[in-house]
Amino acid sequence: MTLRRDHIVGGVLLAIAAAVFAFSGDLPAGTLGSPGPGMLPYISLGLIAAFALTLLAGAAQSPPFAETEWTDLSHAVSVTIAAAVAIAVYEYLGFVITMSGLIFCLLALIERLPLWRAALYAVAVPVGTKLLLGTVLKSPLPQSSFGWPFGF
Amino acid sequence: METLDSLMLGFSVALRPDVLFYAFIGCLVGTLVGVLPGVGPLAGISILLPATFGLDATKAVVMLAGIYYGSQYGGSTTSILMRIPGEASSVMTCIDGFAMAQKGRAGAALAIAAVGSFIAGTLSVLALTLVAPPLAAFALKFGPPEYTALLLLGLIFLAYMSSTSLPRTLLMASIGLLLGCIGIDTMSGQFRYAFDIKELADGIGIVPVAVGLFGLGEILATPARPSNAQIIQPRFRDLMPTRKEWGEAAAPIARGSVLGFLVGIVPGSAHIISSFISYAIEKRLSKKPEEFGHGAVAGVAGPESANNAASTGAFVPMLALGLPTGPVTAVLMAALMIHGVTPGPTLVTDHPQVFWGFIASMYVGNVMLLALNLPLVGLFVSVLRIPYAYLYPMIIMFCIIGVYEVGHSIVDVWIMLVMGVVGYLLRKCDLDPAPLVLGLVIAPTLELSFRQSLTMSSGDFSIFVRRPISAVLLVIAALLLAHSVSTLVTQRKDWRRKLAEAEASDQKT
Repeated sequence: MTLRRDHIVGGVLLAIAAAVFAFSGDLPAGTLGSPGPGMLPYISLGLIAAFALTLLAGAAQSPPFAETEWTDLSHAVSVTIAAAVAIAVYEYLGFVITMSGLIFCLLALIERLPLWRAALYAVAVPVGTKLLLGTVLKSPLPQSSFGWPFGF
Repeated sequence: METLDSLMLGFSVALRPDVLFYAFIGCLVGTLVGVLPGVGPLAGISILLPATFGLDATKAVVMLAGIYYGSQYGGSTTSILMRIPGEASSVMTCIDGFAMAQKGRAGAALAIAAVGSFIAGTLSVLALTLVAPPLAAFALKFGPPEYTALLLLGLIFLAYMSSTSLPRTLLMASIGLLLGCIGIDTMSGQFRYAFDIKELADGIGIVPVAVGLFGLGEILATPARPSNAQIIQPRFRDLMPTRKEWGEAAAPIARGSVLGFLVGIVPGSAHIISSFISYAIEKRLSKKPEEFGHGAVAGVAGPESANNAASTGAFVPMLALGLPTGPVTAVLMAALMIHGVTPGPTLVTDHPQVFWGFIASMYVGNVMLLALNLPLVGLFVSVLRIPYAYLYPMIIMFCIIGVYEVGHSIVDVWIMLVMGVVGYLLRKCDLDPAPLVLGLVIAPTLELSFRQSLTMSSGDFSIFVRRPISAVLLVIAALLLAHSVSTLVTQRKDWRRKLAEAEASDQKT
């Protein structure tokens, strides 16, 4: 049997619905006259499971999973990792340092652009944004925990 | 007369220099958002949401709405000059707009798109002015059963409009409903799926989910490749269409305006759907359908007018009923609520300055956009010369700022990242993220009204059919669902399936 796209989608969502249902043990559904906090979640889970089964039932008409285009996956993973690191340090290093690092990393390491150009852009954009948002629009951005000059 | 007086009040607000300034900023940013491929109005509005925190509600919503309808104007520029839709609703404009550009009529195509957008935008604001206040007054009669029925109808209509994938649409909406249940239950105070994370007590925010799915998700799915697309740079003197071209554009603009407004009122990605329907209608009505795909003026005028009218029509349920018709209006509603203004039937009476100021600003905004888009087309085109490799790191930065600044919560930014990955995977699996966001947005209201209805009736479901308004709404929902299911089961091609096939074949050519 050829594994098709909707086999994967339906199977994964069915498993997620089952897992969430297992986590929902302490949520009372209540009664029809006095619905509890679990009523809508259980209805939603039931609907997810039902539609996931519908996808599984009609999966034969979906394209084979092997034909799915994944050429952009490595780029997506690289960008996700860079963004995750930036988010992890955002509140400690502050806006300017974190964003300069993120942009430099994306331009120099992932896009392979010339280092001086990447560095210039990586400094100019966050500093300009900080001035625009922080000064003109009065929208404060996180500062570094290490104080000046890192607190810029 | 009362409406006219109220509109005058609105203009007295909208024409204040400070409000005009923020309307201009919104229109300018909206045009840029529309021009840049990969940055939709939703990401643009979400990213700039924190910048409105220091403003009052009127200025905030005027600026953010300017981004929304401004993006509909801007989206046509790249479609016509590069055959790249800057915004999803401009996909149909690519076909004949670019063909006109190749024939040396790029300026005329841009002018027709801008003037069509202006006329449609203005007409639909006029309709909004007339329709929203009486609808809001009518909605005061709505109780929990009516709201439950209305929200269900919204979800069913969304599924109906994408009948080729009915289970997929409803599946995504159900996931959205489940996500909307996260946090403290408002009726019992019980925590649900919060896993002891205190930031999740208020539930998952719309902004992190929307920015993740539509902003970051799009970036992850778009690797930075050098663009080989040729950019046609029209001269200012070439912008004037001929008398014949104006004649060919007039009726499609009128039809697109009416169609777009009506489609805009109903839930779903109305501005996208309206442009597709408009294109199909114009092709069918045309005396020379063979010209479509080869530079038909109606193929530009109709869809561009329709998508602008739809973006205005979407404000009717938002302002009058307090119901979002899609992710963009949901974020706009969130923006209003952040400023202490709750959209809904009482908005007209409780905050007349916000309501009428907002409507009047849309008249002004349409004039601004016409003035911006034609003379400055060269400037906007030059933005496209910035390589994508430089643009996307900046967009990621703004995504992080936008989400963090809403609640100063790093958990929200993590949610955005997770949603970005989810958005990427959904694209790979041909699943539309829009119903998920709609489900998330309506979940709290749907749950509250559903449970209140059952409590009112002691668990008797007949309360939904005993009340005339909810009964009518449910009958419409049932008919739509039955029609969708019947076409799905019998594999019969109805107008929606034929339209989808026509779109697919048009985009291939």
